[in-house]
Amino acid sequence: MIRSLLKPLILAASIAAFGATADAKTLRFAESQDIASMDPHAGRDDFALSLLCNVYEGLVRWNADLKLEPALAESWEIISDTEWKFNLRKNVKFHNGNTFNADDVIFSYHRAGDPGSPFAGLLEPIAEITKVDDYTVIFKVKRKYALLLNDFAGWYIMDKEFQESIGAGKPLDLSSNAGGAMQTQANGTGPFKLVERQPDVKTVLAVNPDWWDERKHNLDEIVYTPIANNATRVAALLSGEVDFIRNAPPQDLARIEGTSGMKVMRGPHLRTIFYGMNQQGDTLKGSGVEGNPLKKVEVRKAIAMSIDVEGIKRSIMRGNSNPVATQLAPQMPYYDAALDVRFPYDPDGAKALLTQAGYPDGFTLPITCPAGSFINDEQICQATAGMLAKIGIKAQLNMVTPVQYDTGLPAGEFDFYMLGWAGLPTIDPYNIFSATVHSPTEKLGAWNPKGYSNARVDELIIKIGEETDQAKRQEMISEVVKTQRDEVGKIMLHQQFLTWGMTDKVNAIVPGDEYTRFWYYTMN
Amino acid sequence: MHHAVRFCGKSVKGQIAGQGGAARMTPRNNALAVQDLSIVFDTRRGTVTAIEAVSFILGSGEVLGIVGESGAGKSLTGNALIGLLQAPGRISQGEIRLGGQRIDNVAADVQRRLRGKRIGAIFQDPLTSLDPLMTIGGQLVETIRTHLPLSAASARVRAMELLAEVGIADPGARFDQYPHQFSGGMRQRIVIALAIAAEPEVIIADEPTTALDVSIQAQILALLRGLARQRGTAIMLVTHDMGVIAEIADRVGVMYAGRLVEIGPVAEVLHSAHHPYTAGLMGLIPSLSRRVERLPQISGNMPRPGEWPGGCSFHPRCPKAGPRCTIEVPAPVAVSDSMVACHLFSGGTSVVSGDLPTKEAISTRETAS
Amino acid sequence: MFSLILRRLGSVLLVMLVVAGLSFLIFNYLGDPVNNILGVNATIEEREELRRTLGLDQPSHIQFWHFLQRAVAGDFGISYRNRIPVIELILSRLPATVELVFCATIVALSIGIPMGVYCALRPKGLISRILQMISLVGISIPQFLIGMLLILIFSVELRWLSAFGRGEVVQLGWWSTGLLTHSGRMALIMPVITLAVFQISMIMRLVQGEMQEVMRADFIKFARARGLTDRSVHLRHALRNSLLPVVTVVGMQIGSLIAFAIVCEAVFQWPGLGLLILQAIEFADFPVMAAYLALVGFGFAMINLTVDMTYLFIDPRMRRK
Repeated sequence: MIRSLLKPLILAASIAAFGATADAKTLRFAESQDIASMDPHAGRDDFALSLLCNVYEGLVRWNADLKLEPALAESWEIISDTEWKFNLRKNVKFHNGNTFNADDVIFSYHRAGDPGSPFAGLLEPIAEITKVDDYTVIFKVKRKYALLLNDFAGWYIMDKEFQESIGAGKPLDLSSNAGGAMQTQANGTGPFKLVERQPDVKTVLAVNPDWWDERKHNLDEIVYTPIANNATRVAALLSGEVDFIRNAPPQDLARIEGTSGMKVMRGPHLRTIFYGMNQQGDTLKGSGVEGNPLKKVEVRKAIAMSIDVEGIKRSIMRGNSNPVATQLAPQMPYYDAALDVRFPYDPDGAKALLTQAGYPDGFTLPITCPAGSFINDEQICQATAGMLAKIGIKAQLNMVTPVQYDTGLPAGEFDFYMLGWAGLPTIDPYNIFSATVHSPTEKLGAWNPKGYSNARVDELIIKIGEETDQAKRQEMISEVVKTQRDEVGKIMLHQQFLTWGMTDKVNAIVPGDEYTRFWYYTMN
Repeated sequence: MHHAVRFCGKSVKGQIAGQGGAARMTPRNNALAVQDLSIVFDTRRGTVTAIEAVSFILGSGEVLGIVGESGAGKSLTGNALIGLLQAPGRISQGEIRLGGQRIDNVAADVQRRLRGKRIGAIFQDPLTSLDPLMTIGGQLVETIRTHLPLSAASARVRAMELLAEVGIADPGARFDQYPHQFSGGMRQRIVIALAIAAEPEVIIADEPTTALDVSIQAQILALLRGLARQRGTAIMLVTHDMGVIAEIADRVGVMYAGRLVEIGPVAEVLHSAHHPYTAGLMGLIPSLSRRVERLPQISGNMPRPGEWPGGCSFHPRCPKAGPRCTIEVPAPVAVSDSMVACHLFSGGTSVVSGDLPTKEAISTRETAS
Repeated sequence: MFSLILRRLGSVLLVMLVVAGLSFLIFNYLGDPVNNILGVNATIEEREELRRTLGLDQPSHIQFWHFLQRAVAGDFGISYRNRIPVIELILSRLPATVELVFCATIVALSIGIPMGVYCALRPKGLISRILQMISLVGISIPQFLIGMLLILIFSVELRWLSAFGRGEVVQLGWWSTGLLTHSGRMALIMPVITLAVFQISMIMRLVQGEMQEVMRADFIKFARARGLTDRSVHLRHALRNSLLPVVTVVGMQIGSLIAFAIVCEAVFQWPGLGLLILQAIEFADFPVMAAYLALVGFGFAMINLTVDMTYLFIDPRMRRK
């Protein structure tokens, strides 16, 4: 009885497993975690968006070279300092067949931008949206704002009719028990559509045959499996069970490259890694000395000069890093190569600087280090401690879990901490500056508590956010970068490299923002 | 005290009278014959003799009491008879015949089939002799069907009969009860029912009443005696307790340090013991406890296996020992109706001319070192 | 017996209360999920706002009180990470773990008990010595290592078995089972071995020790004296009497495996409770953690009760009480 009931189920399952034709191209992709939801407004979570970009689209999008290009908007024009007009693409269909139009844009603006939504902050500059006709909308911004397009690349458009029909007209409010319709459903306009999803187990995307854009990829299906354990994920690649893993662990790169039929694709990451520090407090807890040594630029410079970043690249990063002098990675717009000159590695000079600053015997420095947020973060902190010891600074390492770290850092609980910033999803120096360089306020400098603070720099940062003229922006950005570098607002380390492991069959692109834009992928 | 004395006098006489004064050295039908039985333990330090050259015969319907202090080898002998000697113990010499057939050198499985079927056993503690997790009916049926070709239903009927026979009231109701639901005496009755389930010719009862209340002891002894009298079962009763011996034994054997030093009709052993050790043992009964744990009147303790002195093992404690006793192991000789292993009855305790220490005496001394 | 169950349920409630209360105290030190929900770009203002919305700005005893109030109504909140009601989430992950633990326990019992019996009966034999040595290794190798070793051999080298996941599952109502599909059964093999290795070793040692003890008991000697076959003496009498402590330990093991099969589930990406709680901890998904810990307390108490009931079943002496 039960057997006969189950038969159709099993049959269905086997068809799902073996139904694809022989020459169908299925990309099996493993990642360390699952995305939290199929709802692109549920959290400003680059990890989720880096996958959801294949299902949903914004008005604009980043191309393979991380340049903005039209997506659901065909074109746009700046009508005035505070008014942007967008002409929407016609004949675009959502995966369920519904037609995309201005109502969906307006719906998505309110869904993502209303108070209480995680995206309210991203859309905060917008004052008002008006529908001109079914394919034209005008956004009114509160003030002159340079980065509207960058922000729109990370804001995805959803289908009004569909969302309302499944009762997901708002992004899930975590304080109420509203049910999780968006856990297993998605209806976007992107190149791939959701066909199956078991949260934390498997997500299957199939090609969207009705996609508005020209199809350059040849994938028919993407099977995405979260595999939390690094070693298992690598084993799954080596055993041929998956074709592609993002962020292959550094210690396994040689093994992957040494396996026939496997390769590692590398690319520079937009993220640069540095130490931030308490430069505001009058005392440094646990330092064993009077006052706050980190307030003195000589001390900060001495620390910078004591770190052998080339040594870290060689022995810890195994070559997969690029030492930098400023927070802007070379691939970031407005990068200024002339400023990217590090303080020399010079322990003796550093020691002299310390003495000059009044700390001939050094002091104790509490270093807070996340265990698992950045590539080799723990090892780098340990190496740093060893290097600081050579100039007489006794480092006291405090390893914390990523979630403790993410909570404690913005709360100003750490005095010297490792941090990395990529400027996502905006991909503009403004994002980096406003979060990690501007003096901490309610809206800005969230990741710079008690940190670097310079009134001129703060003023420039606001202007960088408003100015649309590229040359003027470049000038101001370079000034911020130079000022912070000269005053040693951060102790810079390096730019991380992306190391993606895959079979030879896969041709991927490895963009600096880590997004998997599968519409550029092909499989042999 | 009074109780014990009364037992000694009255019952013993009664038994002798009951057998028509025919208590003799060799019973008519030999159920079990033990000849020259020696048991050794193989230890790391060498082979230690625990039982040496024990011989006796157990007749059908007879109750043979075996007494002796703890460690004299009574239980070991009993274990050897039922084939349950545990390694590293083994029979090194001698033979055991059951109804004329040797059983000491047969395959383990043959021996196993004899156990319960032809030789039953009863142990000291009825509280621990039964599997606590199985109903007594289950244990009976299991035993019956191991030995007899009966169906489950007929085995059940038979089990009920056995329970009734050993004096369990309302067997039908108690059949499905667990051991913990019975009193100690009841449990020993069940143990006896288990032992006689396949009607064995011989029962080795090792201290069957020691763990029981005095009032219950008499009932259990009566039950055992009834088995011997009515079924003709031969019972070897191992005990410390001279009172028990006096109550039901026909003959009694006395063991000391692994040897049978005296065996004879119960009245003779109790009242006119020949061996100095037996005499010392019997001297205790009226005045002291009925249990014979130690013999305080006789100085010293019984030596443990491996520490036996040469010659007669009792000589260091024996008030009548002479030089011969220290070098020559006394062989059993007939004295009156008994067999006694003491030089007093085989030519005196001073050294007899030409008699050198026997081989056994030498080997005992060597292995004991 | 009924009053025993009632009393037990009372203590179960108490355990759950204490566990949930303690977990709220611990949460203070774990960080909070705000960054995971809002992303790095959120302003201080937005972070504070979300903390208020979630009630995370309240002292932990107030948070605990609110949790209790909702929990009494059967509402354990919704997962910060998975965005669905916690109960639904836990129920959806329960079958994977229960199947895994159930299969591992069956395997462990059916291998561990015979091995233990064998070693108890021939403690000095060569095979026993080898088994004992293997069991020592089995007890001391970390699960992670066993799992990775299996993956390297059977997935990477031989390519026989999948390194991750449950294979195809079939839904039977709310229960999902991998036992009815080929890939589901194949997927069970390595995780089951990984979990079972320790259990096999432990059960073997336990059975051996207990049985050697029981083999010295009078009733075993008497059973032999009754002429019972070795098979009957060993299995019907000795083994059965050795099983009580085994039942206790195996019961507790099942409990802790269901609650904490974390390592094994993480290694094989087994979508069960262990992986769920691991991810919840990484995310600071408090509703999941609180409900989970309270339910674990409940589960352990239930298993205790079951173990006690099993005692009653095995040991007639307990029934009188």
